[in-house]
Amino acid sequence: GCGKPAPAPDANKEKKPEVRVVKIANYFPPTHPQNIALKEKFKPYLEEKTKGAFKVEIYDNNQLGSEKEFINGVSMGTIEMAVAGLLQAEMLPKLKIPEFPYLFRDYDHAMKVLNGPIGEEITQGMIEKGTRPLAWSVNGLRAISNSKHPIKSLKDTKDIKLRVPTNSIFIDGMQALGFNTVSMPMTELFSALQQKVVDGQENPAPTVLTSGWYEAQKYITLSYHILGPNIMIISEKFWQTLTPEQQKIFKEAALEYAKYEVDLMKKFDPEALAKLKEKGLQIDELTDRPEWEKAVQPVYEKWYKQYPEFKDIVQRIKDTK
Amino acid sequence: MLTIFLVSLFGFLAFGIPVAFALILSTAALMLFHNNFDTQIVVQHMMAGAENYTLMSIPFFMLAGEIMNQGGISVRIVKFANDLIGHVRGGLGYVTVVACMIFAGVSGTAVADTAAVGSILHPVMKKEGYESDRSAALICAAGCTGPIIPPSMPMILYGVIGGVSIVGLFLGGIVPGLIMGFALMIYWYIHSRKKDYPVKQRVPFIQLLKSMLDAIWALILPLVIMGGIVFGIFTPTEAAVVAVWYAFFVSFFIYRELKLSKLPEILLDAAISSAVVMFVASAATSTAFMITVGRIPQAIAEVITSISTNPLVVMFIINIFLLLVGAVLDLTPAMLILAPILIPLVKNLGIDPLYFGVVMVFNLCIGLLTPPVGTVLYVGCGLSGHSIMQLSRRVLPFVVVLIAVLFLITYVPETILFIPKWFQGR
Amino acid sequence: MKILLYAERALELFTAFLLACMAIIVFINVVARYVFDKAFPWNEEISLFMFTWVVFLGALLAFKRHRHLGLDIVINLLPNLGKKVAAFIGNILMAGALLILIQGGIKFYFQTVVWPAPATQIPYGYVNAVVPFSAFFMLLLLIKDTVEIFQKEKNEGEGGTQC
Ligand code: NA
Ligand code: NA
Repeated sequence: GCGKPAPAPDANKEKKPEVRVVKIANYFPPTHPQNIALKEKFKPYLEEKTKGAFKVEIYDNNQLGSEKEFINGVSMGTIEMAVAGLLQAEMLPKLKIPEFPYLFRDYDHAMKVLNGPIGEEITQGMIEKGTRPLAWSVNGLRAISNSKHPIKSLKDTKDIKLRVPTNSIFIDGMQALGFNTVSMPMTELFSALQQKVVDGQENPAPTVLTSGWYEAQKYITLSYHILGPNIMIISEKFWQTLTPEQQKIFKEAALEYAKYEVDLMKKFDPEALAKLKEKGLQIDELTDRPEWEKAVQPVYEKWYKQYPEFKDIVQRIKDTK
Repeated sequence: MLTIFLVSLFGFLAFGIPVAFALILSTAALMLFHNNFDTQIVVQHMMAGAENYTLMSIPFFMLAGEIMNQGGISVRIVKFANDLIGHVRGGLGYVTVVACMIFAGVSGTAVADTAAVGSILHPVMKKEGYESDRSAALICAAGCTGPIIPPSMPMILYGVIGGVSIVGLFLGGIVPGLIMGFALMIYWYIHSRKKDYPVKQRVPFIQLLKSMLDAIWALILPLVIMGGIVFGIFTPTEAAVVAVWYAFFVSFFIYRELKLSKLPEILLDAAISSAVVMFVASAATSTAFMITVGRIPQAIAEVITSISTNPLVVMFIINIFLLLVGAVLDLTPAMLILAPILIPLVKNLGIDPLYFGVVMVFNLCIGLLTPPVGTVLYVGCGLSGHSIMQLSRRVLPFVVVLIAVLFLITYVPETILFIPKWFQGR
Repeated sequence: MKILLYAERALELFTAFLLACMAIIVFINVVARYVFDKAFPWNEEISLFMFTWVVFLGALLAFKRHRHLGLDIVINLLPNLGKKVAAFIGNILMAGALLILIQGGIKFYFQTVVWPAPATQIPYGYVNAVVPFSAFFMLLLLIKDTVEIFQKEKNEGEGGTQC
């Protein structure tokens, strides 16, 4: 272990350049596409291209603390990198936009927008907060699971107590769709579903599978109401210690990993659904998707009122082909 | 890294500084060694440790216990237990165990359980001719059912650290808690046959009924708490709050023994008692961060698995290790320091973390009775006026009984897992 | 010194008040969900913020009352002078821990004061400010305790025997 004393300095005279450790924090379980992509793409790519100058250590499952904690850690420079959600939106409101309900048509549309100039516009200010964005990837298209009855149309939402994250876009969006929303931390969700404190939750199907929530759920609806984007961030303090060549390799590694992750996700989504079906869940499609898209319009209006510049950005996103 | 951690932690503790501060300093030592010293890391993770909705149940359960004490609920539990089984030889011994088990159904810590039941029963036992030191020892041992029978503060801590269902842990503690109570009663039965304890007359049935009705409000509270959690009416945190309001309602409106003027002191006492626990929990969160970054669990796993990878053997090693730790460290810090290290290890070996959690809590509870550091033992000394040495000697046979139960639940996992599985299969 | 007593009492009452508010707010959540089928998102956040304040203010009050969990077996084995020396070194170490909390707390305050919480929009920095606040007053109490170690020394040197 590390407890042993280091060998005396003059034991090997030719000083090897020190290997720098890059800790990457995230909140996904080890089997999630995010962690597979980090392990199979980002880590080997970076370590090989930099000829072993860096060693990547992946800390999955909130091992380095919750999302808020590791974002703070990256911004302080105590954690080098992270794959995070959009918690910083409370400081940088434009980051709310990618989570607007029914904004993106599909994964490719989202990736094209977010890894392009609009993505850069949305992430403005992150570097000043110490967290430099490197690449966007996806957490998945969110589906709605519950233990009460199938949800196929807007008529079926009224009597469902749905857990949502403490995030006004989610709360407003799901309420606009007619659900009774309850916010509670993710850690309490499993027992809350099991004990029927809440009837359902909304998350991408792979998350429902990997977290075991399906044990307490009977139905899952492919509502795909929000595309949960993830953003790979690197500590600005750490970034400034890199040479321009190294910076370039980091950026490339990030884009490679992101592309790989989205590909994995496209495969993982149907696989997860098949497994959920095996576990006995009934899978439903929406019969009235246009109605759902219409129902969430008040969420857009609310934010346009507060930030009129959002309207133009949203329009440009919708126009991106 | 492991060496730095252990040496710095126990080195700091040896100077007699509080555990929370020792944890902060050993975190700093690990950061210095790891070359990432930054004071902000400590504070950031301490805040994250405190900002936890589930842990909010700790002050609430403490508050509920305090209100019940002041509001005459504890007295009625003891009176009911006495009318129920006080008439057999050595009867007050059984009364102690039963009263502690009932109170365990509403309190989350052994200290609260021991203090509440002991402060009422110990003077009575002494007056009735039971040996003062032996009675105190029994009260201490029975008080340790407090965190085994749900609700349980250490199980909440464990569940939060390991991401294990707290409801599952609560359910898992029921059978071990009952076994523990019965084991103590069997021991007391064997012991009191040899002794000439006074035999009291059986109370008339009508009086038993009366004292049961009088205590009914206290007796149904455990059912309200567990039933509410298990049947999905509320989360553990909310259950704790419901217990507070329930206790307040019963003490103020039904028993009318709670004075409103006492409320600020009751609140303050619960706040400070839980702050003491939470401050350690909070500091331990920043240590846990450095433990993870320093890959300490892996180092410990290497040491243990180099001896054996057989879960039965590993559980034996861990049990012995925890009994030794429990001798010198209080339950809360031991749980907070060791759970983050041990949980990944047992998970890797295919050991059910829920089962392990109950075993760990049970084990560290025994540590509350063993010198030199045994919080429950100290409470017993306070109650009875005996020295730690004298009481430790008297408590020894009970510790042996509890260790036997510990190995029973360790090697018959069904004792723990039966109820949680049954509820999941529902 | 009377003002200090008042300040302590005010802090005690404030801490008790926060705990009472927590009990009310969380209870409202249960009732709202079951009776009105509704939940307030600010509820969880505000009660959690109060909780962190109770923890750190409570830790300060516990410090004043010497109620923090510690291990005194080793120190108790030492002779009288050794005890004093160990207590003095222990206090210096604790001062170190408190300085970590004060400096780290101030830095963390400035980092998070710009970050509002999602439901209540209260900046996290306001919540986090309780750490340097409590740590600072713990440090003052610690200095007072340390001075008392020496004063006792002096008293004993003058032949005072009150043990
Ligand atoms: Na209990
Ligand atoms: Na002990």
